[in-house]
Amino acid sequence: MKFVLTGGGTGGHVYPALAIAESLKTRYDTAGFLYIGVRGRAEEKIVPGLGYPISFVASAGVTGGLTGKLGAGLRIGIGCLQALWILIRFRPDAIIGTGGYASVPAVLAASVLRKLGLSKAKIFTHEQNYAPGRWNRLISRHADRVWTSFIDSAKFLPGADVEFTGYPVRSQISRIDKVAARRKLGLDEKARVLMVFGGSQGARTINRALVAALPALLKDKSLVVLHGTGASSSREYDAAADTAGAVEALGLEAHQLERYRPCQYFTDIQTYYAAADLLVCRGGAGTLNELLTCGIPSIVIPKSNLAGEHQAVNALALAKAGAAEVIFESPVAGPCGTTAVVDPALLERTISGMLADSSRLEQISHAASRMRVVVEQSVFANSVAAVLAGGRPAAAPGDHGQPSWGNMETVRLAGLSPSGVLAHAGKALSAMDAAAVEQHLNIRLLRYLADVYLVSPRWQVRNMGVKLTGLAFHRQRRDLLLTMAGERPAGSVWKKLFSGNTGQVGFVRRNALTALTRIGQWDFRLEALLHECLREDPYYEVRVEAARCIIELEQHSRDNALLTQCLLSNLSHRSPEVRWSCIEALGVTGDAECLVKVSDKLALHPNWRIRQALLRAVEHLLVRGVITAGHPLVQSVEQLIPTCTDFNPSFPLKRSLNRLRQLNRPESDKTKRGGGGKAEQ
Amino acid sequence: MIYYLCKYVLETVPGLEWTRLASYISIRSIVAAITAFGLILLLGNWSIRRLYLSGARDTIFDYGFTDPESKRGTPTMGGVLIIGAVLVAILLWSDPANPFAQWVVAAMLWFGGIGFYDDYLKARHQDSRMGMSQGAKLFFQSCFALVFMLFYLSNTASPLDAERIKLLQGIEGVTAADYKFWLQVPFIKEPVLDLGWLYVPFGMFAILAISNSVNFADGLDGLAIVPASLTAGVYALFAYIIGNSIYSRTLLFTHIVGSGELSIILAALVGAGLGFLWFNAFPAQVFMGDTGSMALGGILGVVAIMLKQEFLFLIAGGIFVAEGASVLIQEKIGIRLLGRRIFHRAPIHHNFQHFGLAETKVVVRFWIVGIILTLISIATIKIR
Repeated sequence: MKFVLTGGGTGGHVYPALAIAESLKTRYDTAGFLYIGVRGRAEEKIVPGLGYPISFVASAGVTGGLTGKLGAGLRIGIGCLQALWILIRFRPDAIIGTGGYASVPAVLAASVLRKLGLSKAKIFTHEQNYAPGRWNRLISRHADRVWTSFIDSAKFLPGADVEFTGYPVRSQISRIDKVAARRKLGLDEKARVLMVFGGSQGARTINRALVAALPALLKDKSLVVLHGTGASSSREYDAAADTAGAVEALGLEAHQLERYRPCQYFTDIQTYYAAADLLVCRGGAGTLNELLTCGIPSIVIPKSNLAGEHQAVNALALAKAGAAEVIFESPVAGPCGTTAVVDPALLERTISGMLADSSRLEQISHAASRMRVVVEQSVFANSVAAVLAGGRPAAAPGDHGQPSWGNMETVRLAGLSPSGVLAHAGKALSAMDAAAVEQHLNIRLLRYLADVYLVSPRWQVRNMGVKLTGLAFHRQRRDLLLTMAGERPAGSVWKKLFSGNTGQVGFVRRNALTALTRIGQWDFRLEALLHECLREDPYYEVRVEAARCIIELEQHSRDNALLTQCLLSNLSHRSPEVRWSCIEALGVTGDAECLVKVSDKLALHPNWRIRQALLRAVEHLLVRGVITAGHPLVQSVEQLIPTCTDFNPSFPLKRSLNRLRQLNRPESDKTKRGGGGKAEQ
Repeated sequence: MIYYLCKYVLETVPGLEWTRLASYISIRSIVAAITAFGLILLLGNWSIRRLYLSGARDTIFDYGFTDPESKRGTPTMGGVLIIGAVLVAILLWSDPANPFAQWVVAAMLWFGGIGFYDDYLKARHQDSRMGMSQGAKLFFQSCFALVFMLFYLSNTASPLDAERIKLLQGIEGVTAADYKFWLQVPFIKEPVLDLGWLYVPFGMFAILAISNSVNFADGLDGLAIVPASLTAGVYALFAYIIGNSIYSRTLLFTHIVGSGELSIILAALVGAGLGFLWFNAFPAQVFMGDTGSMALGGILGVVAIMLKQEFLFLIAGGIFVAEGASVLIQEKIGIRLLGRRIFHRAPIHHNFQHFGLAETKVVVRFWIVGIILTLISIATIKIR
């Protein structure tokens, strides 16, 4: 028996492949293995270390712009040719792919060989996440059997032969005695051990946040920090060097440095897991399954902007079950746009809070252990044997006591495009008030998604983030919205000519104001922003929105002389929409004086919407009690031209139809279900 | 068909000289217009009922100006009615062997077909977003435009081949054979520029721009059909002059033999347009849908190129130019690129609604502007 294993790019795809290999070894003693991976990625270090031979092919993730995509396509094409050659020489009986772009060339090559009749190798794939990614969906079409970690995942793979197996955690990951583990690592038994680990390639935001939090953390004399920086050494980020440099710059004392132990990679990770009191990690399926197996309390910081935001979904599921704490990356306005960072102060607070509360750690550990699905090692070997023997379809999944990792709706929502998420949120939230939104099932996910969109380099997505922030009453981002709407960075002359010296495009500024109005909190910063928008914003809709904000938040903005001045300066604005919005807002902020001066002219204005705005303003004044019924302003408004060039059509037939429908509701419901309800639309 | 019948009767049966009337383009134009108008009036109620029952109902994308329930469910795809009436009138009164007539019918059916498929998708899903993508529409339109332009400029199968062209006397540097490569501009009697094969992209642009801008204008009751009829009327007049050897010489137009047939088709279009307005006037009983607006645009585009009066459309079709340009500037430059609105609303008729004009008022004002533009267009006949 000869098997080809493939999968990689990150450790999360490599370890399941190796776990499956171990399972196969127990059944096929003399089996030969060959791993096909990509040079320079996680598999290059891990696989030879565990004694499996490895061959390399070219491949790349399809990301970036057109050139990036073309380049990746070219590499995958070359990779397929390389894999063809490797497979022809190795002649495997089965190919096991665990996803990631590294597995694409080998699986495609294998299916090509099979089509040509040159090979009879069976193809198996394993899906680690709840919702399969793009590559895994592509690959599963060529597979003889798809193994999944979740019962529900079959829904995403129509037509494939799906078997639910669970997530194969490496056999060496198991519970080890804490005392023994600490002795092995030379750690004090009474020390509090914090383990920080951003995955095999490292996580920049986690590394930087940790380093920034170090001085505060290491004040606790019993704390030891084990930091796996990750092996990434690309041009843009060299994890180990960057971290070492930052730590040096902190100027820590010798006794503190002694308790900070960085390394690129934890080679004997189970010992570290056992020794740690608390783990800070990413939310990939691999890491989470390992920490559930070991029952370690953890702070999960999901990587954002992944396909389907699966790390965020995973992390939220754990948080809901009480099996982990979640910190999301949050957007911060910087000199060159907004960026996502982990707030070091928040990280430090959460870590010290959790380490100080041992009963809470105990609870989390307990909940984590309960969430774990135990996968029997023989499952994979049996499945392979069954397919090789005759290939009857997989039996219906038994109940392995799968705990719920989030619900279908959450996963669906996370998998939508930004505009899809926004449409969903608009439908669900727009009619709700702040208190009701707080109770919404997916509010945490929606706020997280808003954060993700807010840091997008594309203004279209940022704009959707701004709208979502408002819809979800995301108060923590209020300051960011204020900054975005009012930003005036020094730009180039060209930019100033075309869009004024604003940091964000017009739609973003307008929607930031709409969101601030919806959030509804009034303070001097908002007031200053409104001044600025009404005085100098080059985009008319921003001014309209500012006036609307003043009207909506009437109880805060009334009798405000400064705002009145700003509004008056807009009465000759070239956009009529700005004019009529500002006239109405004057009724809120101003007194009778400011309107008396202009009322004669406005009452005879040819555009009825301006005349209507005057009436509304006077109405506001009357309601506020600033003027009374006999006031000269009311008299002069009586002289207004009452003609109006617009009207709402009213169709009597449709009114009758609606009345009949109301009387006939149960009947019409029936016909609708029977397919006869077409006429109702 | 009646054209051929009358010709045959005139030649063979003595004593029926009045059948000579059918050989006059002016008479056939007027009769064609009345035929198309009468057909739509006769079949209007019946076909609106058929359209409604077959599920062709509008799900208008609501801009928030009118009661959302007010127009939903109105029968659409009324363009089928226009196409049918024009087709019958053409078959009865024009010469089917005329290449100008053939190209116009081809354009009407092809563009109408694209619009029909788009309407069909929207009606089937009852969702205005489920129609054909903008890219797909443009692709199929450019297919036709490309084929048409290649034929137009070919040596053998062009409707403007050398023996049909009677150049004005005193014009130098242009031969009848390569007249088709030259550009004509209103107010100037000579051809102004030899575009060569650049005429292909220019002509394609003209056809696509004209057909899509008519589509954008079709947003309010009666807004597209009246200006389209007016524009068709202007082109009918131009076709009549250009196709007439005497008038073209007097008015200093290059005479294109056979193009007079276009005035019959365009007159039929005017008649069908008036008939359609009967039902489409506010509040509409039927919308033309993309079926109608695309077909109208396709006809106008092809006619403008065959008469070499592309630039006349800037005046005669000024309303469509404003509608199309406002959408293009708003969507592509404003919303996509700059991230802000440039107009308060686009297409331009929504802008007026936004400023407080009722739909009926906007439509009538657009008609007024259309009539003024028609007058200016007619003035260009003499001012050259």
